[in-house]
Amino acid sequence: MSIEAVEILLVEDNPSDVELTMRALKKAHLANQVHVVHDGAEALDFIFAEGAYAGRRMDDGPKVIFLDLKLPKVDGLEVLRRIKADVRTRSLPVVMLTSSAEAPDIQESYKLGVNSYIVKPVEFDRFVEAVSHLGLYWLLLNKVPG
Amino acid sequence: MSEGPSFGKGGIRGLSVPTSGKILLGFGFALLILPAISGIAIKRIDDLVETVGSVSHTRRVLGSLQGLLVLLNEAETNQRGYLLTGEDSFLEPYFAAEKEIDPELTELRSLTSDNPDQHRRLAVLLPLIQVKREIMADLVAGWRLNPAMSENTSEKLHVGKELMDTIWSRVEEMERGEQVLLAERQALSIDDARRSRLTLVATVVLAVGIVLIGSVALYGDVKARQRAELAALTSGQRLQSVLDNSPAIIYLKDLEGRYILVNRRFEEVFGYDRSEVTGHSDYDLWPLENAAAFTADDQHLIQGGASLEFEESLQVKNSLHTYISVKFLLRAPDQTPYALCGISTDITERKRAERELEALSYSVSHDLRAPLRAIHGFSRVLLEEKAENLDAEGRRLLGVILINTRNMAALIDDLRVPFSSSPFPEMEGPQDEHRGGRDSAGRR
Repeated sequence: MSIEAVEILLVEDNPSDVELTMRALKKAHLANQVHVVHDGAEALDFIFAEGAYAGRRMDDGPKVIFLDLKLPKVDGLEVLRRIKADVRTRSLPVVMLTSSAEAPDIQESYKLGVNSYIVKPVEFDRFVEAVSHLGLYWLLLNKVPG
Repeated sequence: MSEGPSFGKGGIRGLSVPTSGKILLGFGFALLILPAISGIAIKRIDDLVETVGSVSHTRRVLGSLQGLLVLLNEAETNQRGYLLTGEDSFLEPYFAAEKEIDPELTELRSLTSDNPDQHRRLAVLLPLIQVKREIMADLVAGWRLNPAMSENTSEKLHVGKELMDTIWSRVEEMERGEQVLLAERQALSIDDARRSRLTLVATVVLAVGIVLIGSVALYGDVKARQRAELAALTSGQRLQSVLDNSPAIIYLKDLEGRYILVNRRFEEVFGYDRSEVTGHSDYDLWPLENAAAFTADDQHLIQGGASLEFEESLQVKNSLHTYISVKFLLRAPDQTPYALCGISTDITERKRAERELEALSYSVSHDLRAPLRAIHGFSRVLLEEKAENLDAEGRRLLGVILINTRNMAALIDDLRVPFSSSPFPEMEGPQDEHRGGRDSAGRR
């Protein structure tokens, strides 16, 4: 998978969820520029071009981040906080894609500046529908500064 | 409870006032009656003393009259003996009797000076006695010079004898007068004694009666007062022990915001003794900011009238506790509020249990949803992408899996319902958390 021109960063530790999300994106013809990381620390390294991703140029995306809430090492809310706290990444759209429909999680996410909060539906058809809508919206319809 | 709850005081006063009034009236009456009766009794005794005195006076007059007769008789007897025998041994008793006549007369004069009748009789008697004594003295003196019976001597003897009879009858007349007086005075003194006794008995009976009635009334009053006080005390104590055994913080304030009563839990939580609290206002007990907030709440309650109910947090012994608090007005039978009451129940434990259950149901629903999503997702993928490898029965079986997965998803969603039916109503605004629970620590 090319590191160049990444459009979607998928942060997800559950392999089943990763596969299902990838299939959903494929159905929406959005799977080409997806990069997957499996914990919060790796996500931060990728975003800020640090650690294993030190050679990466931050200009090369992603255009949107699909972020799970419960993650190993650094949890989703902390990743979100770090992205929104940094001038370089503040305008990067972050979509929470999670199983949690808990009010405190949702409130905290919006307080930290999340751009969307999506509760993953159990039913595959609706999951596909949600993921394709998200991809279309954030990659095609949404305009970002610069 | 040094200043004590003020209820019930009116009741005690209402009960005791008429009794005290009666007692006062009774003692006032006794104070008027007793001196009057005592005055009468003293007068009766004075009368008795006077009549007894007059009786003894009469007896002395009688004694004196008798004494006079005895002396005159003695003088005459010895004078006659001397004239008959010429023996000098008769002379001595004669002179002795003669010498005592004058003092006896002086006494008689003074004794009868207050009685005009006797005084008049004495005035007649005195010259007769004087003449009689002169005759006796003449005869004795004449016989001593010339001891021989002459005509003159026998005549003098004769006159002397007649004079003596007259004196005798005069004295007897005086004696009779005194006897009449004595009878009168004795009757009077008996009468006086009887009346004095009657008055005394009446006085004593009345005094004892008044004291008895007063004591009974006083005893009844004291008993009633004790009963009323005990009732007030025990009802206060009963209330206090009920409140003290409540696990909730309970307090009563008057409408000026001064604490009337607090329970044991209040003392434990806030570290005040009830004696330090009762009679004081919030401003004496809490920091200015909190006191102002409580006072505002109280005023709101007093003006609005409806009970307030809210949750609040409170720092107790270094840990934050959650309380559900109610504040309401206590009203007199005519509905005017006279005090306000606050009850704060510690629901920290309940809150904690709720939170734990919430967390459990959160992780259950969250953790169950992920594998379920995989089951559903991959079954779906199988059905779509590998359909040609399945016969009709295989596709039906996958369909059963999908239906059951959907049912289980619905069950998991229902699991969350009792704790938070939907996240969205609670998202309406962050001010929500301020509306529900109060934030200032130390607040009740």
